[in-house]
Amino acid sequence: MLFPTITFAVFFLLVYAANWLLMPRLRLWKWMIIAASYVFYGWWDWRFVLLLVAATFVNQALGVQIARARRRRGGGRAAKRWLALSVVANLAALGYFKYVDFFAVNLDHLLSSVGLGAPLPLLRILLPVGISFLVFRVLTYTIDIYRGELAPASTLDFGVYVAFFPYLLAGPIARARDFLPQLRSPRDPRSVDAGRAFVLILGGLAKKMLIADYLSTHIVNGVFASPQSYSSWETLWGIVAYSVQIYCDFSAYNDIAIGISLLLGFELPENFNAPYTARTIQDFWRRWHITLSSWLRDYLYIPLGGNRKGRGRTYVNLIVTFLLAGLWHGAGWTFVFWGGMHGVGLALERARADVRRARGLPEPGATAGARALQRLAVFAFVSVAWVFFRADSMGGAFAVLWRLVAGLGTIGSAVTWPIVGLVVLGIGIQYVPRRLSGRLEGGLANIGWAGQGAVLALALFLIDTLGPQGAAEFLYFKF
Amino acid sequence: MPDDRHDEGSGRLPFDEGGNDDLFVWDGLRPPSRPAGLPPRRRDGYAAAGDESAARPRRAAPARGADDEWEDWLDPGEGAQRGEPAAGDGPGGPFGADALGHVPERRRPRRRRLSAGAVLAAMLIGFFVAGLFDAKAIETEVKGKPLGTARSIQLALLKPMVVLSGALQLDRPAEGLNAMLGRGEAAHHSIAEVKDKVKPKWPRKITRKDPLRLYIIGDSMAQVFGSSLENLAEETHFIKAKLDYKVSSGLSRPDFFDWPQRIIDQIVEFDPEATAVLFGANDGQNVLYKGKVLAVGTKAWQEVYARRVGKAMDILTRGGRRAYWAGNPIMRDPGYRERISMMDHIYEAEAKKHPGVFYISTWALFANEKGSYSEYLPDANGDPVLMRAPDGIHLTRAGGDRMAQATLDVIEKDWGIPQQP
Repeated sequence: MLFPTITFAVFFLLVYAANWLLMPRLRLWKWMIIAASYVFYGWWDWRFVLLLVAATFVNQALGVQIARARRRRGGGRAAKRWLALSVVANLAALGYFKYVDFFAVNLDHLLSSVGLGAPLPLLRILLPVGISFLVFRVLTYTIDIYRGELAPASTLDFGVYVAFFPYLLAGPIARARDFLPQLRSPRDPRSVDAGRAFVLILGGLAKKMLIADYLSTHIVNGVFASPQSYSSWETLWGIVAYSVQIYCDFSAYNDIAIGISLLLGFELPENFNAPYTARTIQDFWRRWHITLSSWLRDYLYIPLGGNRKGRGRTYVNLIVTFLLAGLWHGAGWTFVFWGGMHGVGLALERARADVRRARGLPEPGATAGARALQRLAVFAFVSVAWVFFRADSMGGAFAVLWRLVAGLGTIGSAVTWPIVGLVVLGIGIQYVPRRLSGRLEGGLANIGWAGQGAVLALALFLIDTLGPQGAAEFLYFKF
Repeated sequence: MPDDRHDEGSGRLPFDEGGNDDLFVWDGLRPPSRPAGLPPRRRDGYAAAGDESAARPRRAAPARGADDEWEDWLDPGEGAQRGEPAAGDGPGGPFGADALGHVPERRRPRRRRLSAGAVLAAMLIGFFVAGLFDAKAIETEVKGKPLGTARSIQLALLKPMVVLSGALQLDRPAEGLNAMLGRGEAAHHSIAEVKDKVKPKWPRKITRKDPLRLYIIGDSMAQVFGSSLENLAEETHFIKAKLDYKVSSGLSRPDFFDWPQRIIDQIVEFDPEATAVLFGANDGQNVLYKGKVLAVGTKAWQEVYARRVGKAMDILTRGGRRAYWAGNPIMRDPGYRERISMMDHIYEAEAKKHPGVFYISTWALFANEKGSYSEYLPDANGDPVLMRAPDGIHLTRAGGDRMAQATLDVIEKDWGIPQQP
């Protein structure tokens, strides 16, 4: 069930009504929200629901065992073993659904190259939507219990946390310690933050349907499918358009998820903070997919040693973290390469800063011109990396990049004013100061329910009329 | 140690005094007092969105395990002055500083909030009014869905809104907007204009200066197949290709997308000499014929579908043009596979009746050595390559290339174009 569809609108109205009618009876509410979430997830394929059930019971059992072991004198090692089992079980599930064929094929290639080839069984398992998000989410539960930062919740509460439908498919990766406390008390039916919720939902729909889908069908798909049919100028715009498309598409889903959660009375973490205004790659990762980058920081980079084991090890840790981040996104070398680019970029940035510090050199100048150049440089780097993220293969990615120089001589007609306008808009909205969006939320909140209804009607009408026919899937569903 | 632990318990070990051994339950005891760090419990027992995060102590560092030193993974490094903004005007970015290393959380001003009932009223007003203004477009979208009970029910529920919208002329703004955007109904060409077009000569000498004009059409399967064929065709330097596909379309439902009319329009405007075709993925559904719904797979359905395929072939080959009709590959789902196979047989039979139409079977191209469906198939070197998308229907780039090459081979042979090594 996709967000921008009538089916979901009807589903959500029913769930919304049930949410607030049952909220005073919290336990009953929890059963209702679990059932609704299972219906939502099962709409894709009923078998996916079994995954949610399994994830709930297995991780709850392991979480309880970890907590019990921690409480016992000398139970630290036992707790560690239970934690290891949790990590292995969850990653094994992810590996089974997502990576088994990737590794089998590549192992086959490797063995063949040394004359040991033998066809390995290729399973081609049906990939549950959003499984990478699910696994990372449940790992925050067991790991934080092990770290003593969270006590196990009831199975019912944990079941709600695992299945909560707004963030189920593509994040944000809400941590157990942030979400579970919200299940302790019923949400106040007199205090729904509708102003902010509607701004997020309508803004998300506009980004997805008016910007992302248009750029996808009118330039991005063509450039990446048949790069040799386009000029250098068109290819350049195709690459930039993809950067805007992926931002608008992914942030749109998250905005809608956060908005829907607010309407149900729950707060989810922010996931994007104007990423294309970043002046360093480091800053970019503080602004792009924030819940993923903080997850990687807390559960991968820091356990690897972070920057406390010397410079060389720091660079290695950064690269390893981002190689795995790339692999998390997809079972393909293009994703690994994309992650590796960011890891190497971060390592080089860190190395440069370390050298400058060692030599006592001041930080680079912060004039307006210098800042603009830095933002442009980071955007260019990120956009080139996105080429690998989007391409079907490494060859396909290099074909697109090669076209930047091989297609000189003609301009072509694929770059139209609407494309230019939407690209500028997609980047420009990130430079809108927070206080303005805050004022918009406040303004909408202050006009009351009738006014909000009118605004909702106008916005939905415009988005539906100006947008494409039918609802395209969100890009991050395949992760 | 952070204070927002959940259900701390009484401190009694669960194994003592016959504690709870339930695998899924953490000692089951309610906390004797409310853990610190959570907002004070209101007398009415409710909490609002954002209360918990607002009450949470602001951490300057991410939480960590007992043995690990605090580490900010994006720490500027040792020696950096605390409080100095890192590149990017501080971790909070250009819009505000924040504690170093912590994922920035916005401090949001308190906004007026509504009751749940008022919000529901707002949403109902919004959906209803938007629906009134957009009723016609919604109806068109629902009409395009597969024929069946669900579609009928949805159309019945929409009918009053469509009538009301028309009566109040609330459909005018949408029409005006679409006209402004140039999305109004375009003028169509007629079949007579196709006949009047300069007759392509077949066979003729295809040269680089006068390449073959190839039109590629189809449904979503044609997106990858067509772009692969475009790429391969362009690489020959003897073919100039144009891809034209429409997702969710086919020949079963001209009410959703009228391919015969589209083909006529494109022949008049692009004047192709040859067309590569790939349909069928969406055609395995009931069709509407003279007011009656014909169930897919029945004899009546097959006759009507064959007639529609034949009509498309007539248009494509008018004036001596050539058509290369690619059959669908084997599919994963058994029921779907059966329907696709039925349609492929119809394409083959109709192609035999139409001179100038070549049917290219790709079924076996995508089957393994046992003749069964397989996502992975060996390439020229014998290495397994992923050919199909996760849905068991669409093609990957490698799959598109395989199908496109088979089609291109036929085109090159037919027109005497030198085949690429």
